[in-house]
Amino acid sequence: MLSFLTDPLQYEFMRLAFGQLVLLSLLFGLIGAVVYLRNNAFLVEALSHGIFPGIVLAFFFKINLLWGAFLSSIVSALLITRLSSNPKVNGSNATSIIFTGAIALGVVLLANLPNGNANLSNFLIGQILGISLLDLVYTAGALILSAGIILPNFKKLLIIFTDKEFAQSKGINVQLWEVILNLLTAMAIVVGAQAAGALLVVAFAVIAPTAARLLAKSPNQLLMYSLGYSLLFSLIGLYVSYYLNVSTGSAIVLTQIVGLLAIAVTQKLRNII
Amino acid sequence: MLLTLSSKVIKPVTNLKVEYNGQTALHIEKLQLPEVGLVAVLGSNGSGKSTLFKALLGLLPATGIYLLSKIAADKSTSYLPQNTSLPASIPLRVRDLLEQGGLQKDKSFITELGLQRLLDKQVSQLSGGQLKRSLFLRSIISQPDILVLDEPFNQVDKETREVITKILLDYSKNHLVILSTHDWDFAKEYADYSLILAGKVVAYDSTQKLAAEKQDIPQLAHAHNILCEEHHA
Repeated sequence: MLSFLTDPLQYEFMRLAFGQLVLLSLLFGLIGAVVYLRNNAFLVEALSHGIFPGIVLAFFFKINLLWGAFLSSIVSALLITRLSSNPKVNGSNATSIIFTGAIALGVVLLANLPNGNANLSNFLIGQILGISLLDLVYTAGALILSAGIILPNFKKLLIIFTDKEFAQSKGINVQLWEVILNLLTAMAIVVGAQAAGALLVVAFAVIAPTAARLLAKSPNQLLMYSLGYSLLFSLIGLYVSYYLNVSTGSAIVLTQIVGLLAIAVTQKLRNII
Repeated sequence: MLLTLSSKVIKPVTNLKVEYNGQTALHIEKLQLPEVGLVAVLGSNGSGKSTLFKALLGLLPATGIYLLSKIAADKSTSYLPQNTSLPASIPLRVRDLLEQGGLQKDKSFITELGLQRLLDKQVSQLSGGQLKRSLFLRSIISQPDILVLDEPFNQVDKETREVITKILLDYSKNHLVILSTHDWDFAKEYADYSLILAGKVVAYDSTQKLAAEKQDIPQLAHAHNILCEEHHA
């Protein structure tokens, strides 16, 4: 039994993937919980798709792809905020406009690149088995920064999530915090896209917190369960992908969905019995 | 009587102006809030009650001298917003909500409001009255010097209304309570001071004096409001 778990780790790439997934799932357990509490999964979607043109441009100008992705996701988030501030355009419309535009722009830019590149497609589809130690360091940095900012302020943030006006009347700078949280979310998505791909990163941010919400009775519990499920689903997904020889990102997302369903069904049964 | 009471600690609101889309929604040249007592802010919909409160608390852009954090700098303030719906995405127990109110100085309020058995209940499962009482408690639990309540009696059951009124009457003996209401009968019975708004201050004095001098307060507020709307149109 134990060798079933340890055997894959004799390979360097599996050890790296294992380490990366532990860090990533904690990062997304945390950021995902915040996204859930803010009720803005659409932001994650927009940010994750908005990175596409940035990556292509970064590749073209030979700057770090992570920075290209980060800047691009921020630009698209700003555009969405600007668009949805018009009362005639609602948030989900604004999101759809920007992210389809971003993908189209990315495709056009990509077609004009001299020779496609393996690194680029990794970023779009996700290839966790091909990550380097440096990627791990980036994820660790993002995790430390996010946890360092969010955890000590979690109570304060909850007041904002519950009731913005009340929070503001308490002297909390709501707008500043919204910007900080958006930036942290963008950062998580950029490092997450490296592992899961721009398309699947949304699942990382949304599914585990949703599963957590089914059981949580308080905000702290939601955070704890979100971290726990995120870690559990990711590692199960990693082993599944190793033994079934399928894409790791996809295996993790499917594990997350099966896990979510299992929790939902258990809850339902418990309510019936 | 009111003017002689003018306090040294709370400076007057001076030349407060709030504009929506280039039109003046509220203009208050001068307003001296008392240091303690119950102030009822009356006026019809659109008269600027919520606007005044939001301005006082810095929740919307305005010009003039008006922020409670400036005109009453060494006093603590708390606020009960008018809109009381909370996002269902957050698993929040009543005790989590109360924690947001800050330091819980006086726990007797919990019993008085009948919330002691509901502390572990999810906020999403509360009845309208229970939610209102919980939110009211969140705003008062830290015992602020100034308590601002926007329409606390809107859509609440009689029992909730009575228990909140009782607490406020007692609380306003030593603190300043400002609340907005449509209900002149409530103001007449309980408020120390009444402020009639219709885009500006129509009348402001001790309620006793206003009640004796002006028989037509509800109509007064309403009439001015119509004039304002016509002016805006």
